[in-house]
Amino acid sequence: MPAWNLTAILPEAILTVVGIVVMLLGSFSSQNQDRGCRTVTLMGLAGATVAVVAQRQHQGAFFDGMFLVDPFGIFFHLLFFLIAALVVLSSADYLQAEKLTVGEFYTLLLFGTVGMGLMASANDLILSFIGLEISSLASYVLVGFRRGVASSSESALKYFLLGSFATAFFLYGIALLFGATGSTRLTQIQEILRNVSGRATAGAAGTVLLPTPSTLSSLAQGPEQFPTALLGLAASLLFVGLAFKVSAAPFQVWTPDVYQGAPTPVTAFLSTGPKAAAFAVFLRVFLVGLEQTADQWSALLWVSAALSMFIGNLAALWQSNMKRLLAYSSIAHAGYMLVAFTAHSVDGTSAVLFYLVAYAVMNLGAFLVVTHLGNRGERYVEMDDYAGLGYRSPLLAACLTIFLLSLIGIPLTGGFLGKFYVFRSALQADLIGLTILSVVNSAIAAYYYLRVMVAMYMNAPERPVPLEPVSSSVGVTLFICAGGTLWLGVFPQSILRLAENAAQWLLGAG
Amino acid sequence: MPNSYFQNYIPVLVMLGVVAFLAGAMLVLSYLLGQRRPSREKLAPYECGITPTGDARQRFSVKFYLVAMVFILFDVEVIFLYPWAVIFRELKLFGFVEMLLFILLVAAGFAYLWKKGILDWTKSDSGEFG
Repeated sequence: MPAWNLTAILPEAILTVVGIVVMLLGSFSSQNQDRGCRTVTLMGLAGATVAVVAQRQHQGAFFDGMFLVDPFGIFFHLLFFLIAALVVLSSADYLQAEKLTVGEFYTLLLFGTVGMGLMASANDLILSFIGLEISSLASYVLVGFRRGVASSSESALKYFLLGSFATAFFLYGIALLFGATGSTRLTQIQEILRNVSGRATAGAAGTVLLPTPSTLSSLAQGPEQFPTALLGLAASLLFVGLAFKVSAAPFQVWTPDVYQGAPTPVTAFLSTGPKAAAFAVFLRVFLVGLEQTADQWSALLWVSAALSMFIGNLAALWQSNMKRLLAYSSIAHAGYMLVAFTAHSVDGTSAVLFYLVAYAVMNLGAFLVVTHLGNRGERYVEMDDYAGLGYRSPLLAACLTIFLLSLIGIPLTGGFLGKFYVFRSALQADLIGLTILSVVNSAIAAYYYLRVMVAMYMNAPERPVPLEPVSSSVGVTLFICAGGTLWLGVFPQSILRLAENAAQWLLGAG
Repeated sequence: MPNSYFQNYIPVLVMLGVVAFLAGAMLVLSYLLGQRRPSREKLAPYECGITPTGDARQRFSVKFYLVAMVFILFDVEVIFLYPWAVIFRELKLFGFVEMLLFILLVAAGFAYLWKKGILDWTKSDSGEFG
């Protein structure tokens, strides 16, 4: 008799039901359903948040060990719900101006969040894959949400084709990993690999002490018979699939095109939510499942981190379109997070988690300003359109300045502490070369962020750019993002403690 | 080279060889032994036995994609229903409730696409998806 265990997936269940309700509400009610849909969506997210907080008392492994309720998963769930709520708030005006259907937009956002939640909590690669697919399918549609606009459809098609390709890599990696170890459970894989390497070091090919499935007994006879090549291939394929999703080099090519063509609130969502979810899977797969092969994959991550930072930052120097600029900056930030990941330590992992939170608030805020200034049809997204903004709308300019300073990594902002923890963990892990490269990159990055600020405060506008009044929902979101960025920079302790707790659990457990 | 591991796949290799040989033999033998008297009828593309009518490359309504998608939705539903029906008694109440939830989810999707007018194939301007 299968157990019900509904408490473990209660947040996901709530969001699924609310998503369906919003979908039906959006299509069945006649006019003015916008506000109703938004309220229901936000209430659903609030309910899911409450459910996650309540889950802290009911941690453990559920569904035969497939689904984990642990501090790591809870941390990511809370982050996803925050991101989704901020995107819902910030997209309200945009959807109205572009005359887009509200019900479907929020439904897809909620379904995407469900997929992300499953990714963060999955202890089984098959469940990770399903979560990845749920969130990806929702993102593909969201990217092409401006159906009448050619660039939006183009980027949706590009994202879909390349994304499916990357998912195929991920799936192939799972298959090969299953072939090598006989399991898709990450904690089981960890144990099997520990036993194999333990015997390899002891040199004693004797009795098999594994609590493993029977299929394995034939190939787990001794370390000399373990298919090491297969394991390496599996790890590389998993790396390709996940690096694509976090837009790390050399799998970053899709990012600028997709980010530019997607509706701006969706770009904000993509660059924070699915990216964080992919990092959750990334961390779980490589720090838990493939923990024993750290020597091999850390070299891979080293190269990818350095490449991401350089490609992102150097390419961003030449951009004049704000969305493209932030897309390249998003590649570079994935690089910084990979630096901390390469450290392979509790400090490094908690630095990644903290960075994801800081990046989420500052990037959502920056994209919100871009959304608001873009006006109808996203006409004003060039950097020249920002000229003189400091005089025409001091508050908006001040908010954007806070976000850009945080993206550079100036003290008193979340971005600074994020970078600080990243560099510290890299130094502690003796990654001195990589740390120097990341510091150099932070300096390069300052140039293009400062260019925007120079345009805002020192240049005169070249063409008249209309400025819509800031609505209450945009104002509230801006306030949360700007406040959150500063709060993380001044009082990081509470979030940092949560991140450390999650990292300790991930690396210590199992 | 982990021999014991890849030895398991030798039957697959043998099978591949047999398939290649058999298929190749059939083609070569029929090429060598068969008589060829081509006629217009014989050279025409085979369309399930019906006389071909025109080119296959013509424009058709984008609605057919939606029809195909809806078909897959209900196809998958039925695929899940069959194995469930076989062990329905063993699953007891749990299986019943699970399937009820599943069908409710599909029904919600059905209600949505009905309301959106996707089932209304004859309407020329079916709004959003037309």
